[in-house]
Amino acid sequence: MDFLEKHLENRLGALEAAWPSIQFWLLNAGANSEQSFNAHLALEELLTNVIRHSGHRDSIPIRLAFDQGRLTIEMRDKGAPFDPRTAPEPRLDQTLETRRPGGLGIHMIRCTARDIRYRRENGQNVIQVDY
Amino acid sequence: MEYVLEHMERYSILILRGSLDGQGAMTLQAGLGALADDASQPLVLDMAELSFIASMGISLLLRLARGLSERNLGTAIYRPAPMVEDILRIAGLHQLIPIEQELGKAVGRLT
Repeated sequence: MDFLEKHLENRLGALEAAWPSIQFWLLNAGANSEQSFNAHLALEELLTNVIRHSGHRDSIPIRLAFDQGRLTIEMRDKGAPFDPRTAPEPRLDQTLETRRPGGLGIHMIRCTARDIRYRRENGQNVIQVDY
Repeated sequence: MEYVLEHMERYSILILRGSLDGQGAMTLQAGLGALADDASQPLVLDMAELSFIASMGISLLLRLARGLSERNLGTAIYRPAPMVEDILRIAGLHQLIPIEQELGKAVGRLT
């Protein structure tokens, strides 16, 4: 199993600086372009969620593992408990005038992931996403 | 994130390049914040060179299209890459902003 561990800065836009090295690792590990794209999406949306909503103040540890064609992304934070599997679905049936943001990022992860797991461990949210 | 705004005779075209993630959305917002308020033509969003989009980018495009709509100006998305188009559809954007692979069809959807 190949794996990569990093800490992302706790600020919007932090992934932009970290992404090239993560993408390089994904390509070397054997991830395909769809897995790489979806990993980018999951990291971006989970990071945004932690920064905006969790109250977590430190850097954010992530772990990527690639084994026999399966990619797993893990993110941990010490914020308020948040299970992405039970987050409400966004309203996508509204008009351009009435549609409001919120919930879209988690919805996009749920639609693209093979599996999502969540546990609360030692006061931390631990979210794992498989592709 | 890079962008170019070109003004044609009957419409404007916004060429998006790179990654429209949270940072990209902030860059685009800072550069085009007044676009919807100042626009006098409908807008084609050229996504051929857009390699990635996330929810903050989608929200920005929705705000842009809403601002144009309030001025009775249409918006259309032109030739997104397949994985970007998948995300736009998952987000339900295709129900609000037409997506076309040919420029003539995109321009035809602006009214």
